[in-house]
Amino acid sequence: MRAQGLAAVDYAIIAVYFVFVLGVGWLVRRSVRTSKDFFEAGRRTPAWVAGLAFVSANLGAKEVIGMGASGAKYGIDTAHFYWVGAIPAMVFVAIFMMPFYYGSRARSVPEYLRLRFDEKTRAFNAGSFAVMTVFSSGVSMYAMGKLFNLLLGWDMDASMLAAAGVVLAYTTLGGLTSAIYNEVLQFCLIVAGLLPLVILGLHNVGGWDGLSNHLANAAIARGYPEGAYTHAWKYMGDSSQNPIGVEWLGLVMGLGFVLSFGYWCTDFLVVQRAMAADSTTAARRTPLIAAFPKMLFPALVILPGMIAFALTASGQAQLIPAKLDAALQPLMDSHGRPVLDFDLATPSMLLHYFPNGLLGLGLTALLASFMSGMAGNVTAFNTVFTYDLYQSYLRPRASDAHYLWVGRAATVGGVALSIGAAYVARSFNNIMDVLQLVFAFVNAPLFATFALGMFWRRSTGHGAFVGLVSGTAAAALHHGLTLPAGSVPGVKGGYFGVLHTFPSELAQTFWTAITAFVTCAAVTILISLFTRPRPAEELHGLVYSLTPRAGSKDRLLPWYERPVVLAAVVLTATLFLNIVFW
Amino acid sequence: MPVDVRLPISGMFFAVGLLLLIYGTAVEGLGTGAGRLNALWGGAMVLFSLVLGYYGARAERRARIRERGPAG
Repeated sequence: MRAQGLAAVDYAIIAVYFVFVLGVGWLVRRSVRTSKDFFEAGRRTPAWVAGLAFVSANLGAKEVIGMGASGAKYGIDTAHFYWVGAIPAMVFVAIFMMPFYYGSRARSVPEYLRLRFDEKTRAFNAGSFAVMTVFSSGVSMYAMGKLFNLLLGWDMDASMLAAAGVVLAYTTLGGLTSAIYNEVLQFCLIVAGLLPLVILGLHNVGGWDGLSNHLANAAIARGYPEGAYTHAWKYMGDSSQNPIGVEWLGLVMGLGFVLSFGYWCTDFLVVQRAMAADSTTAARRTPLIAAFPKMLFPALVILPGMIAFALTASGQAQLIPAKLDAALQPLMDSHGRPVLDFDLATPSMLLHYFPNGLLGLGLTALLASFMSGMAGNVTAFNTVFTYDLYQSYLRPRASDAHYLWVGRAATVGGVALSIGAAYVARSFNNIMDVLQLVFAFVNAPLFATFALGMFWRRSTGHGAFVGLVSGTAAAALHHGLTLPAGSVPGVKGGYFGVLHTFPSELAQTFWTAITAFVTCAAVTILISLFTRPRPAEELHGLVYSLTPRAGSKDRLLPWYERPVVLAAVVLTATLFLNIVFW
Repeated sequence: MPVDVRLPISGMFFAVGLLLLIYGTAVEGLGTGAGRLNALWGGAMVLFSLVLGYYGARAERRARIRERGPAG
C-alpha cells in the first residue's frame, strides 16, 4: 500500500467537491424561513429526491468501508444485509408504516410514540436516539480521521475537523433541505467513485468466474465448501459450512426480521427523509424508490472487498494487511494465519487500482460517504433535540423563530458533541463494538414496540415502556451469558458467565436481537392486558385498524407510481437476485 | 425547492469530469493506461453531466412557468 502520492489533480477534485457541497448549503439557506423548513424541508421534497437521500443517509462509513470489510470476511453472504435485511424492511415501512408516520403529522419518530403511547415512552426513545446519534457520528468521524491518516499520512485532527466543519456549515445554513440535496449529490459521487473500482477489479480477477475460482481455493483452505464465499443460500443449512457462521433461521429472524426491520422502520435518521416528502403517496414511494439502488449496492460495496480478499488469499497482491499487536508484529489466529485488517479492504483497492485523478475521485467518494452519514446523524439529532427534548421539557410555548434558532444551535452542539465523541473513541480500542452492541440492544426491542403500537390497538403506554426496558435488559442478559467462539469474556459478551458459545459474533448479535424483540413483545402484551388502553377515538390515524386505507387514492395514480406495484417489482427483483446468487 | 437538485450535481460532475479529462489527455497522455482511464471516465462524467443538466434545466424552466401561473 502506498502511504502518500496524491497529485494536484486529486486535491483539486476534493476541493471542487467541498465548493459544491458548501455552495448547495449557501443556495438553500434562502428557502429556510421557518422551523418546518429547517427540520422537515418544508415537506415539499419530490419522492425521487427523498428516495435517493433515504438511501444516501445510510451510505455512511459503516456501509462503504464496513460492507467492503464484511465482503472480504464473509463473501457474498454479506448481501443478506440487503436482500434479506434492508429491502423487505424498506417495503414494509413504505406500505404499512409510512401512512402513520406521515399521516399522524408527527414531526419525528419519538413524537409518533408520544401520540400513540405516552410521554415517558417518547422521552426514552428521544434520549437514547440522541445519545446513539451523537456517538455514531463521532465514531464515524474518528474512523474517517484514522483511515486518512493511515492511508495518506494526513493529520487525523485536521481531516476530522475539516469534514466536520463543512458538514456543520451546510447543515446550519440549509437544515434538512441542504442535507437532502447534498445526500443526493453525494450518492451520485459515491457511485461515480466506486463503479470504476469494481470494473477494474473484476476485469483483473477474470470476471465473476475468475473471482469464484480464487475464492473457492480460499474457502477450501479455511475448511469451507468451495462455493462458500460465492453462494448466498446454498450452505445456510449448517452454521459451520458458511463464513458468516449462522444458519438460515438465525439469519432470517435475527437479521431479516428483527435487526433490519428495527433499523429501517424505526430509526429517525432514515425515516426523516421520507417524512420530508411532499405527500403521503410520495412518502410511501420514498423507501421503494430507495430500494432499487439499494438492492444493487452489493455490487458496489461488497464486491471490492471480495476481490481484495481473493487477491490477498491467492498471494497475487497483499491488499488486506494484517492487524498488528502492541509490538507492531502481525497478529496470528489459532491456525497460525495472520488476522487480516478487513476494514482496509476497500481503501486498499482504491490505492491499488486507481491512478492519480481517479484516486482523487475515489477518495472524494469515501469522504462523501463519511459526510453524508454524519449530516444524516446531525439533522436527525437537531430535530429530536429541538422537538422532543427542548420544546417538550424546557420551553414549550416559544415562537417559531426561537425554535429555528435552537435548531441551528443544536446543529452546532451536535457537531461539537460528535467531535468530542470522536476523541472519546480514540481513547478506547473497543468503542465500535460497544456502539454496535448498544444499537442491537435499543433498536431490536423498539421494532416490537412500534409493530404492536401500529397493529394492536389494545397496547398501552405502560406496556410499551416496560416492554422496551425489559427488551433492552433481556438483550444485555443474553449477551452477558453468551460468547462468540475464540473471544474472551468482556465487551464481546460472557460477562455474567458463558452458557453458550456462538460460531461467530454475527450469530451472537442476531440471537441477542431475537431475544430482545421477543421479550419486549411478550412483556408489552402482558402489561397491556393488565392496563387501561386509550379510547379508540384518540387512536385514529395512529393504529392500522382505525386508519382509512391509502390504497383507494393510489388507484388514481399511474401504475408506475402506485406504491403496491413498486413494492411488488422490488420484491420480485430481490427474489430474483437471491435465486441468481443462491 | 430553491433549485432543481440535478443542476448542482450536473455542475459538479462537469467540473470533476473535465479535470479528469484534461489530466488524462494533456498531462498523462493517451499513450498511458492511467491517461486513458482518466480520460475515459472523465469523458463519461462530462457526458452524464450534460444529460443531467439538460433535464435539470428543463424541469427548472417548467417550475418557473408554473410559479408565474397561466397569465405569465
